Amino acid sequence: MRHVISAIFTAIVIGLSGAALAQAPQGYPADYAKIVDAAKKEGKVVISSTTDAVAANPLIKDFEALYPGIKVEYSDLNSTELYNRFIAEAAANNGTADIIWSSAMDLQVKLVADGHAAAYASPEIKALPKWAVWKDSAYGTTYEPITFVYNKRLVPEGDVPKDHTDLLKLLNAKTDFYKGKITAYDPERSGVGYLFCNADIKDFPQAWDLFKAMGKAQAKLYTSAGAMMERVTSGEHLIAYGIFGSYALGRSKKDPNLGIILPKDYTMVTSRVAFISKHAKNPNAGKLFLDYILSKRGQEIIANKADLYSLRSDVDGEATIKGVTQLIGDKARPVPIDQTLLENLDQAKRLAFLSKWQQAKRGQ
Amino acid sequence: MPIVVYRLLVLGVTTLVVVAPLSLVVYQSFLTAPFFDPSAKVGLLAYSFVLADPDFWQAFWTTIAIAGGMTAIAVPLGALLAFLMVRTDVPGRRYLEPLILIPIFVSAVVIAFGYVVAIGPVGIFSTLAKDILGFVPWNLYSLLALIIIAGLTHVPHVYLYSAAALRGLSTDLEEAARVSGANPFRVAVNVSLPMILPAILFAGVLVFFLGFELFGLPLVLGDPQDLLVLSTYLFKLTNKLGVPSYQLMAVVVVAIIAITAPLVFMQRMLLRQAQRYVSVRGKGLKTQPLPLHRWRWIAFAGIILWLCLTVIVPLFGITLRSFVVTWGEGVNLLNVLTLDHYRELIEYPNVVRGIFNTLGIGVIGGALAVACYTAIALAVHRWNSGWTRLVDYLVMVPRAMPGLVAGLALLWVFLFVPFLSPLKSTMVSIWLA
Repeated sequence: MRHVISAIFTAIVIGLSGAALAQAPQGYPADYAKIVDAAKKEGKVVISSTTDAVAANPLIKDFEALYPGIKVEYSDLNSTELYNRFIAEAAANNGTADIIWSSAMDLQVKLVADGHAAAYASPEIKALPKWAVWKDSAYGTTYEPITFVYNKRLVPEGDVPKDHTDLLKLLNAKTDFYKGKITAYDPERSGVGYLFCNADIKDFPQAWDLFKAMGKAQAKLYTSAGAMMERVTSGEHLIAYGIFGSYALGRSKKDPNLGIILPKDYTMVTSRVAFISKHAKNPNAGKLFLDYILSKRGQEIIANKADLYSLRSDVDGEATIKGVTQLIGDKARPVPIDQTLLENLDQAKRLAFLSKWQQAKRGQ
Repeated sequence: MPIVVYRLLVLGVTTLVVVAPLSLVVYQSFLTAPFFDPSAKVGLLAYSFVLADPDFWQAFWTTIAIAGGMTAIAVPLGALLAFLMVRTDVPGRRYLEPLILIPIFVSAVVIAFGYVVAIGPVGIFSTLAKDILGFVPWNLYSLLALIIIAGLTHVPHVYLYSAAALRGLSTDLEEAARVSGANPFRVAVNVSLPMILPAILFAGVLVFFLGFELFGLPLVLGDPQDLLVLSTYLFKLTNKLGVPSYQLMAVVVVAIIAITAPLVFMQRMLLRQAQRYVSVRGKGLKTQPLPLHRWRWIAFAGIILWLCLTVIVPLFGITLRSFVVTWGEGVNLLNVLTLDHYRELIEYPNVVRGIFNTLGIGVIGGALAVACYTAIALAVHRWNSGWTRLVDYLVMVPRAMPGLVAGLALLWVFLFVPFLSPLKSTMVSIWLA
């Protein structure tokens, strides 16, 4: 009998707290409940994203638990497909997905600059770093350091580079040992690779020397971090330059052979950018989801379950802005989400960079 | 309905289905921006950019080399394999047949990656070879290796066509040749295979076209070596200018059509040549397998060798990878075995749906596709009209379009032709592609 009573009591408490949760989260404006109700009427939120479905799964499940009645339709695509599909759908006036969430920062900023984003000032803005919000439309959602990874079995202890200058010295000193064993993103074939190279040029005065040294060492260039990490752990290559910390962390948990370095002179930080589409069919559900992934609750899952990194300073853990600051102090260089990213898409600049890059590949 | 109406109807639908996306792509190649962008103007800018790009020409010639090389490998091997399996008494015929068809089902990326794990620079067999010989006698990342692998994995395609044709022939002519003293090899080359020349020719042209479509294999094996083929060059183009530039991609597709359309023409010419000869023969339809005597086990060994190189090596590589945490130089495989990857797979939310979708497309889509092609074949059968030539082109040319562009083009058709848009998110659009 006692058990039945405590069971009923527990059920009531859970039911009540469940009901409380269904209303506006703490600290949100009072009329937020209207948005929640409108979203529930919409019944679903359609997300188009480059984040792996497995990583996003904990977020989706938690969101659905937070707002029962709103179903998440999640598609994970690569950044080019995502862009292609979005602009075609927008042009065809057919309605697009509600939330566009991509790691291709420059393409996302272009879409926002071209007027495809709905302006929405999220209640979470005050908890976010300044560089992560642009025109109240584009929002950075993660804080991913760009790291070096290496093969712990085969790279001699003394060779492990602690920063970019070390890497440059290593490649010049031991060119033969590392011939064909260095790998990086290809700026020609990969938008991310191009972004990294240009950020390096801004932050590292000897960037072109480094590219030339990589060219002399016959660095192998890829378009996929997965392919690069696979070949580093197998020993086909020894060091990979410019791997997202989120992927590296996830991989190193499974494979202890993978070593990760956050370069101590400066570490570039990128962020996956999300925006609510102007052509969204479920704009209110979109707002809920955006606020959710920027909220403390969502960011905690991002940091601890999704193996992405959180950008909120009130979240604890290794995969957070706090954790990264502990490792590299003030040497983090987040790529600001603003119109400077559009320079990356300037055709003339790209072609000029690429021809200089071709020369550097030959070691000149 | 009268047969003429039926023929014209089928022709009309086929033309629409093939020509609509294709013409959109050709139109796009003459613009300066995506066709739905209001700022797009007509011009030849796209052509001048692509034709001046050394990467394009490198990709172009490499693709032709690969397509030619793999046809040269796949056609003789496939035809010979068909002869051995269908016409002779080589042992194990019944069990070998399904194994031979495996490369058609397995995704090219999977095969390519399996090769990397098995015979890549730090692959399992490579490290073994290094231990025994001191060096690795092969280079997986070379053009030659790519051609050989592409050729070997397309043997089943030639096999399918040749075997089907051979099954329709009676064996009396071969028996006559045997009785006159020809050894089985001569019988194959001088009697059986010439009789199925149309099928072999068709398969050969198909394999050449598939060479243009190759994407997964050159991506995994050619990526690090800067070895470009037209489809991976297309992939490069999507990024080179920052924003995907459809007009440049469209130019590449036009280039592909420019090569493949004349090839269909050439194939028709060759077929007409082949059909000038008629064999005078008896009417019997019995099929007796040709006894191979001494060559039985040699032939068998040959088939097993091909199976090993093409199927077992890469599948072994990929299976091994699924069971280990890490691999490569310095790793003792027995130390790193794990079932974790399989456990993780269950957590992938889309896997089950993906499997069902693939099965659905495979089974239902396959049946529908067969129905469509049957309808087309029926319409064209014994139709003495110039329209049949059109159908040949319509059916063959899309085979050469790289999947990347085909997908895009169909997306556009579905999006922009108003009454079709509800279908776009369904499997119908994927099936059509």
